[in-house]
Amino acid sequence: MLVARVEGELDLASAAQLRNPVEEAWNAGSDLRHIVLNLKGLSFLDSTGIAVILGRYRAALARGGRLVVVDANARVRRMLEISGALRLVELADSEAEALARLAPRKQGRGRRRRRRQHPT
Amino acid sequence: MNGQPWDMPRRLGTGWGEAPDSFLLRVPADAANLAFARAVVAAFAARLPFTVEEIEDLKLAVSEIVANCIVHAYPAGQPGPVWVAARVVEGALEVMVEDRGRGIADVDKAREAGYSTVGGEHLGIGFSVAETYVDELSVESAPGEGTCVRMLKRPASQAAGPLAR
Repeated sequence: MLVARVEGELDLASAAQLRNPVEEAWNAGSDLRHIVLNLKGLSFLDSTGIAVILGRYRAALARGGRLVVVDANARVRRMLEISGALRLVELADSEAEALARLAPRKQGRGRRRRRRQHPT
Repeated sequence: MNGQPWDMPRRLGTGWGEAPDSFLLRVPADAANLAFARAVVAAFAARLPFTVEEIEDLKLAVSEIVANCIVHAYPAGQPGPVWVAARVVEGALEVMVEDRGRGIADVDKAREAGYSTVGGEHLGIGFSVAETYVDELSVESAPGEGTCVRMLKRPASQAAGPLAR
């Protein structure tokens, strides 16, 4: 799965800074199925940011995967709700919870790949 | 645009940036100015008894509307002006965002959630999101004559009466 940590303000001006590297890593890793977006460091999110998140949801869905949003604060959750995105993406309180939820159940086949954007 | 003076908004009216408790800002409709525009409104709004959350609401609404100007108003690569103005009206904040762009043929349609004239990853929810975060929002527009959005936000503490603070 692909894990991206997002920091700062996500809006029309910065959308490509998230979209492009995630898309690049996603296309490079053809065995990636799930995407985890850690929004802990996100201080601002508008509808353009929601569009970027939903774009990643569609990418995951196309490979039979899921998108999990981690550590969304109350404002971010409200935006996800207003935009309708909450019906599509999953929420988790921590990366560990998201990874546990997405990890393959069968022992021995747990191939997990982590890619990090915006390293802290 | 179209040979008209660049420095005059059409719909805004006069007095912005002249009357006390008001400002008028003009920036090119470029994404690089988006954070600046909402920060200016947030800084101005601090003179009213808004909560931190309400200021964030304002920033979001302004961001949605100015982003609309940046994406829709002007031909790609030719950003025209966006005016952002605000004033204090009876204890509330009135914010105006005007462009001199292509205008909106069907304002009601444009305000519907999920309607967008451009493709890609645009959701077409800018107006409806902005509307959620302010008390009033109205749109004045015509094809070829730019768009002006008026928003009003009242501090909740004010609505609760002076004794609430």
